[in-house]
Amino acid sequence: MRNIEYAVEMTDVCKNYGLVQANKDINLKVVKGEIHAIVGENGAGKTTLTNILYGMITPSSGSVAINGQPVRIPSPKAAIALGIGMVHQHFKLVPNFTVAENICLGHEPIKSLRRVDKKRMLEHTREISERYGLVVEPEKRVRDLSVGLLQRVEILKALSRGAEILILDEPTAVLTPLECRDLFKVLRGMSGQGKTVLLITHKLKEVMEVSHHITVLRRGITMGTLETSDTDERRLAGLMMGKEADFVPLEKKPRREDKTAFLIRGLQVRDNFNIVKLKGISLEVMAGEILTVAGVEGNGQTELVEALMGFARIEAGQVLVDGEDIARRNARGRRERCSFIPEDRMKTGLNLDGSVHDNLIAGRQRSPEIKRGPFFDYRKSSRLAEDLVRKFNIKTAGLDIEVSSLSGGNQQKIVVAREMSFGNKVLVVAQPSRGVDIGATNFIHEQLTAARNAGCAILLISTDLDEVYALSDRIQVLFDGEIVGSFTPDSLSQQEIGLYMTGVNRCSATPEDAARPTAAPNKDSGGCEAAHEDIP
Amino acid sequence: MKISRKLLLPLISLCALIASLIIGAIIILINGDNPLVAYGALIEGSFNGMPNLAGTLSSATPLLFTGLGVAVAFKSGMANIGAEGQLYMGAIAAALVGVYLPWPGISLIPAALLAAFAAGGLYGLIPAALKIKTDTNEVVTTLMLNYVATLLTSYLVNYPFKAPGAPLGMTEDIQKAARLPLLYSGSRFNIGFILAIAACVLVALMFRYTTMGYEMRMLGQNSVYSKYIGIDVSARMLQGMFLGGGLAGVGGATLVLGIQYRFVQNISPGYGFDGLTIALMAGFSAIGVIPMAILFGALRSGGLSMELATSVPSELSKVVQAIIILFMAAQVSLALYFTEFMTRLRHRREKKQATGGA
Repeated sequence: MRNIEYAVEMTDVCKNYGLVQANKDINLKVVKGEIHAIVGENGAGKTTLTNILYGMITPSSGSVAINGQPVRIPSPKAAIALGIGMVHQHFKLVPNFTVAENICLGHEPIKSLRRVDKKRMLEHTREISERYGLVVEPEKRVRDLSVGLLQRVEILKALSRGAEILILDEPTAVLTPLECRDLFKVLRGMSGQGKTVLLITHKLKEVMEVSHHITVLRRGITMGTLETSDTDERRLAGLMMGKEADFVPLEKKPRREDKTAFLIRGLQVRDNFNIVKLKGISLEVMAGEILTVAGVEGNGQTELVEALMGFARIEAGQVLVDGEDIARRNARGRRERCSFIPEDRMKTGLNLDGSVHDNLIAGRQRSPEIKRGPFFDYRKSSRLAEDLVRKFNIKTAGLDIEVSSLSGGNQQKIVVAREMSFGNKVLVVAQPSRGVDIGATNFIHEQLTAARNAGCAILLISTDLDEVYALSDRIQVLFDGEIVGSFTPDSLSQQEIGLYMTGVNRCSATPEDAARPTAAPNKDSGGCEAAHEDIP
Repeated sequence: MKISRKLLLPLISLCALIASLIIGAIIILINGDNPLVAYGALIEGSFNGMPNLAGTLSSATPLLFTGLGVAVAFKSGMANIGAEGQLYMGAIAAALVGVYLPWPGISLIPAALLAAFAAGGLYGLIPAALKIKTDTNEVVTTLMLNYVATLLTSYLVNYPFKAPGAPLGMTEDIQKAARLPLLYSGSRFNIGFILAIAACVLVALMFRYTTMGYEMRMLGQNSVYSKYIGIDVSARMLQGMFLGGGLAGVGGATLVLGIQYRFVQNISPGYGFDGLTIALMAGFSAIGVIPMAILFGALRSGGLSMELATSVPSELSKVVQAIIILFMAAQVSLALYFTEFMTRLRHRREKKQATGGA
């Protein structure tokens, strides 16, 4: 086994942040030319590990070897010099530059008088684009590209700097199923040409599809490296979570009554740059139903949630809860009728510096449940918080603990617990499992299903198709600020729905019709036969 | 050793203090004096004996109010750099009431204090309103309004309200009944100090036990979240700035009613800015303001004794203050460095034990 050439070798690497050990004795061996996946739940130490490799942070102890040579990587510059390239989850591109300019940024070809040689820049871009089969248009501006293409540019940028080892951090998080497929094809091609690919992800399905070896991280420790052909998702999930994962299917009861609980009519919203982000969309959610708005991020989801919460100005349209327009109410007034689980729990959903208690009772500070005159009744509010901690199985050392010290899953449970505790009949839930471990995700899904079974109307906004299919009664696809399709989950595969999410297919039905689950079928619209099936 | 975050902040503050005293000692050495003698005189001059202690506490009184005013505003999410200006507005209001209000004696002090609170508070509302209406950065507006307040009050006491025959801009003396009762005769140590301590305690209780305090706290920690959970963000911002400005204004009143007995132009030697440092060192805790303000009062009143005992100029105590500010500004990275150092130490010990045991 001695003669195997390792592109990356990490031995006993530790990283401490103050008293917190982010990584502990990381051991990683990546064979040259393979696709090596690193999986783990959020907070398992994946990001720390990659940041060490890319020179963003220096390890507290341990050694790193690249191509058999022990190295120190003090900066990303040093990492690039060693042939390490990184494709970040959040792209680091200049929107106003062309593709070629972005790819050559930092190492532009220069002609006389230190002028940038645009011609050679374009040639260079074409050349590497052809060599790796990554088709791009070098002269197009980056701001006009789709997410999949942006990622392609990022990969090319790393390759053009001579990367032999490519790290991709959660590359599929923003891609549609079809784009994922393309990406994997590219990765396989690169591996065939001798490049080493490190794939950081928590999606086990993808890992099984594309990788040669898999290293599992849990709580900052390497749990072991497995050969992909030798293992399965179940076993990986078990290693990730420390126990065999049990996937209990969600139990959905038939709906009891046909009553519209939540109706959005002709909602139009602009973003901060005065661009219309929602073009008059209409949605109708029945009591006891989960309606999902699916789609690729950036097609108006954020604006939809913000408009409903009262953060963005509603230009036109109505938001009716049981027939009452809440669009005219302020944030507190809306909360009386409707609960919100916002997509950004760090900024919006929680006060990370506040205690578990303060976060759990938020929104109730003016309610007589926990108030006596101008004063808080801490006995009552603590009891309320304790109840929620118990009921939602929130793992915390106490009510006084700062929320920032809890895991992502437990943080999200606090948001869910608080929002569901108001007993509102309408719930708006955005990306409830983003950055949340599998265990907590399952728990949250169970809670949402239970609320649905109890007659709540739930509007779910999610970009995670697995989640969409697990929870939804009906799915509507949001593309470029419009509803372009309406389906039931069993009528359309994830692949097919991807075509709607990217705008390839669309229904010609008017938004008003698409919103109506019982609207008359429109036989003319190609991909829409599924749209009007009866709800189970 | 595990240190909770609650304990860490005072610990870091203490480290900053010690480090700045060491650097101060080096400067004293360069100046050709014995730092032990100088610091001895500093401590003696500020704490030894009732007259000295009274001097320290009377210097601390306006600092308590400005420190608390800044802390309250910061805690409700407003970066208030304008305590100096709010202090000036409060001071002039207190002086005008104290000089001209023809009310019976007993009502003069409460009336002057209330006027000072209202003047400082209203002055604090300007940057808050600008932030809400036009999204102007309050750091800039509060800072700029300091100059407006200093110059405006200077104008007032040089022209319309100038005491006849006074050599520089000042009002006439306030009425005897408007003077704050002394707590120690022969000094200017007055009941303003007790009011200040009471204010700190009341504010701490408000933040801890009332709905308004809870909402202000949440706002200070995360404004987006506060809006989301249904807090009236604008109202709490205005409240925080009114209360903070008002407290700084009362600090100005204690200068007029308790120390100078009139308003003199440039009445404050930077109490408002010291208040900022004090609030920062206290981690914006209302109770934490108390020891920090007394410490700064001691540096102010002991600096003079140090000058008398050695050739060290009292400006040096200001240098020490400046160094403290520097260290406090670095406190977050210091905290990280410190914990990292402790874990490394622990690791080394563990490793030693492990190898020793094997």
